[in-house]
Amino acid sequence: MAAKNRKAKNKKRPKRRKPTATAFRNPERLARRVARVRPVAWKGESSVDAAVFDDAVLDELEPEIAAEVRLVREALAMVADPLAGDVNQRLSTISRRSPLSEWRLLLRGLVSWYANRTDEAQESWKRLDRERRPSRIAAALTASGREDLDALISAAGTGSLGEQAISLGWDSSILSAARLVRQTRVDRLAVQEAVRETSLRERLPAELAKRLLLSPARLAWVIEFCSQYNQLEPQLVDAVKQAALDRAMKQPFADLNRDAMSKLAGPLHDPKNLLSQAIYHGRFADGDVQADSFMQQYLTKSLPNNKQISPSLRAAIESEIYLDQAREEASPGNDGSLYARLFAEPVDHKLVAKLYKKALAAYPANAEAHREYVDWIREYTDNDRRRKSEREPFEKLLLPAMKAWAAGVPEEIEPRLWLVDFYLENEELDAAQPHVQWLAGSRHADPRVRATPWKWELLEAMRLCRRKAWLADVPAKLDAAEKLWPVWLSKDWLPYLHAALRLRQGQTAEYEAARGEIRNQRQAAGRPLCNLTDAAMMLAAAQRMRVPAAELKPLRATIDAAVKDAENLDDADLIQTASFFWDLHRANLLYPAYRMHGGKFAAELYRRLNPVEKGGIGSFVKEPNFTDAIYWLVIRRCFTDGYDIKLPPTLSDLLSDLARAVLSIESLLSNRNQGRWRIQKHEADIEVLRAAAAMEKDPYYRYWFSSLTSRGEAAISANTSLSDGFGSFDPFDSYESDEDEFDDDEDAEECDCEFCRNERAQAAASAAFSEAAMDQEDDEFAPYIDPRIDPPLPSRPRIDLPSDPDFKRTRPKDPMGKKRKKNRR
Amino acid sequence: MSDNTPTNHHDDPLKVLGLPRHASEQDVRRRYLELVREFPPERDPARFQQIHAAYKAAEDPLLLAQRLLDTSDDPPRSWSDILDEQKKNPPRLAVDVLLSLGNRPAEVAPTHTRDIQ
Repeated sequence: MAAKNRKAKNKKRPKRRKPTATAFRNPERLARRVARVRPVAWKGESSVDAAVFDDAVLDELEPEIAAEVRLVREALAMVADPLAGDVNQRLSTISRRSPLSEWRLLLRGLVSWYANRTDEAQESWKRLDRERRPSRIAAALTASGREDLDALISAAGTGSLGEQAISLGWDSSILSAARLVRQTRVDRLAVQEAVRETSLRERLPAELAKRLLLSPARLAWVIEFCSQYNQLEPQLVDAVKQAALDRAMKQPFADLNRDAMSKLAGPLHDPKNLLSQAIYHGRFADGDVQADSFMQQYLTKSLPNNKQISPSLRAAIESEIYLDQAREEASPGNDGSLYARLFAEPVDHKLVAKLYKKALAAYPANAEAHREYVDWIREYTDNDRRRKSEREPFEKLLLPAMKAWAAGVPEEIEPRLWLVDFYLENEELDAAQPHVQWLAGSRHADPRVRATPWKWELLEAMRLCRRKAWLADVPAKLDAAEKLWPVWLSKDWLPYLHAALRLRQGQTAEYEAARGEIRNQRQAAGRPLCNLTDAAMMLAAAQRMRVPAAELKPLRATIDAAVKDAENLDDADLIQTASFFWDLHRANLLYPAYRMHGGKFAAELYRRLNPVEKGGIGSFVKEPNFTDAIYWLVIRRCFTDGYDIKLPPTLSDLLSDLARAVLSIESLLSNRNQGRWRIQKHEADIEVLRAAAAMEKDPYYRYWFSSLTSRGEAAISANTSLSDGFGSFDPFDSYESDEDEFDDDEDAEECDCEFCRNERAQAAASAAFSEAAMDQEDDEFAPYIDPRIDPPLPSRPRIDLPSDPDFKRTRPKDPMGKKRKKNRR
Repeated sequence: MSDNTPTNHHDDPLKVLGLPRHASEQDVRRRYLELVREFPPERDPARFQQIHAAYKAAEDPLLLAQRLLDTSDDPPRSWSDILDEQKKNPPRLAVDVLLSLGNRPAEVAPTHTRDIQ
């Protein structure tokens, strides 16, 4: 036994391998070392330095010093995280005389060093005490950048460290630490491996290669790569993972997508990739049921419990999802194809309203959702072709929608302007008052906002006409309104309001005199009034000033007769009336009967413009009233079919560039659906509007042109930088999912495990592989062909990618769209 | 015209910050801090102003949500582009790794400490 021990004692121990420059070429070893390394206090190291990483030592320090050590600890954590704030600021309370000032210098230099400002870093580090840890850390970082580091390490191994290294106070330990820094930050084995792997061309049939963006083999590599380098290179791993997920999303192979989504963690807002899968399956013609199932899981489970993102982002995501669903439900068949439009299911209005409300409840400040919801409601409330009973349900939605908009986005003027009108119409002065005050004090560029005091007076005059007892106060209100009358609005209507007041007061003779006076004055001014315009102005004023129905009857009769005989109306009369209607639209002072005849006059005017007769209506083209009439038709959406512009060619030739630009952009923007896509063809019109906005003197038109420019640019920007929400116009629409879960013949279903898939792919590759096709292939990912790789088995050992056996069985058999709607309800 | 005149929407804040469309809240903040370090206000006030404005716009949860939900039909970025980008951003050292760089050679026994005045 003793002999055995002696023998063992005499046996030469294997020499410990000297550190060499090539150590840790194996990424696993490097990862292990990085995971293992810990700061260790040396004999005689200062307690202050040791306390930076040793809690026991920290507890023994005086409270003041301990507090500074904690600051240093916080700063160290901050500097390790690029997201954290200003490190130097955090340490600003540590004085120069403090024993922790060395750490302050180290950290200041470290911030510069990470930003590649090495000179600045050296400036901070040059004053460090070589006997303390901060100096040694700085030395290791400095040495890591030396080109001759390998030589220095070799020399240290043989005990012949150069004079320069010795003079700098470097020892083998510092050099070893420097090598670790170099390997993790400079050599970066993970990057090298990723470059090597991704530059290999996978041999795939040309037909498959075009569509296969992430092969099973490449996915297996990504999964292994992520697990191997997650600690060393978290950002790189994240980028590779996201790239793989992105590719899985963009290829029409549902099984590969599912593997990628289940094996790779998703981004912070969607760690389980539920949202991604909902979007992905929604792109397939038969994927609605699955898409909705994933979306429900995301909305009800994943998103509410996701603490990785801020509550406001969670709310915004939820809001945007519901908004997109509302858009989809409001415009079924909105994929641009005629077939889809013709055979689209009827709109479920209750569902659309519910989805919009959900979007707004999730994020009340979502201005876009408010605007779209109100626009959607107004499509029905402002539609003259709908019966009152059809409009009523939507009219009930409008007030709460406007209130929610004003409350959720207080800086928006649209809902406030509408609410002021509504409250004054309904004698709710207290409710209107705060909005009026806000609008008056806002100094908003919109001239309608600046005209709020005027409108207040005018609407007050109209409100006071409700009761005879109040009529005495009306002239004062009309006078006040006259003084505040906006410069951008014609005053032609004002005398009619006074005349209407006479009629309301029952002073028939005075009324007739007032009307005669109006005609005489216009005649004297060389601007004679046409009959229809005169009648429309009077009817509008009388209805607004609450003239009783009996007195209104003769006024309405004139208009009704004109409607019946619209074909024979004088061109000038029609244009002048259209100009008046345009003013009422601009001031939002339309009268109830307008709904009955406005559309009919608009239709007649549009008919006469198509084509424009040169001797007839064409002779008015140069007159301002004509442009007003065109603008009136524009906002009545006469020049759009809900899809594109329908501008009569002869009119197009006659219009000014500006009028044509307004017509194009306003018409396209008014189409909630496809029209916005066509706006990109009209960039030149936006430039015309921009120039006009800069030159225009009329405040209304200046703001309108500017607003159209802005909205047009936003639409173009949205259409170029973003796709249409969840992937309309998607190439996937032509595909059915490759998972035949709805196939009745279960036995015929192919096995979905990775092995079988690889076998199938190999068989396909053998059959279709062609060198010629490979040569012609435009593969951006493959600078060269690696002969070591056989097609198309994984280049790495196969990784088990278990598929959920219940995944297919739990899905319903019927993929009809009805279920999708049911889920949303 | 006052400040609330409709503005130009061409300046995509994420583009100004040099961020991809699907940038997260953390990406926005990280990039902003990087750019501020690169263009501090005292060195390049105009550029800083632009970066700050873009950061403020990009902080809008709705903008981020819209971008996160967007599915582009663009072809995927090439691996080489992604890796080239990553090459420019070496990983930072974890706190323990950084502190361990100051360790002395193993033959020097640990534990004893001395006080510094």
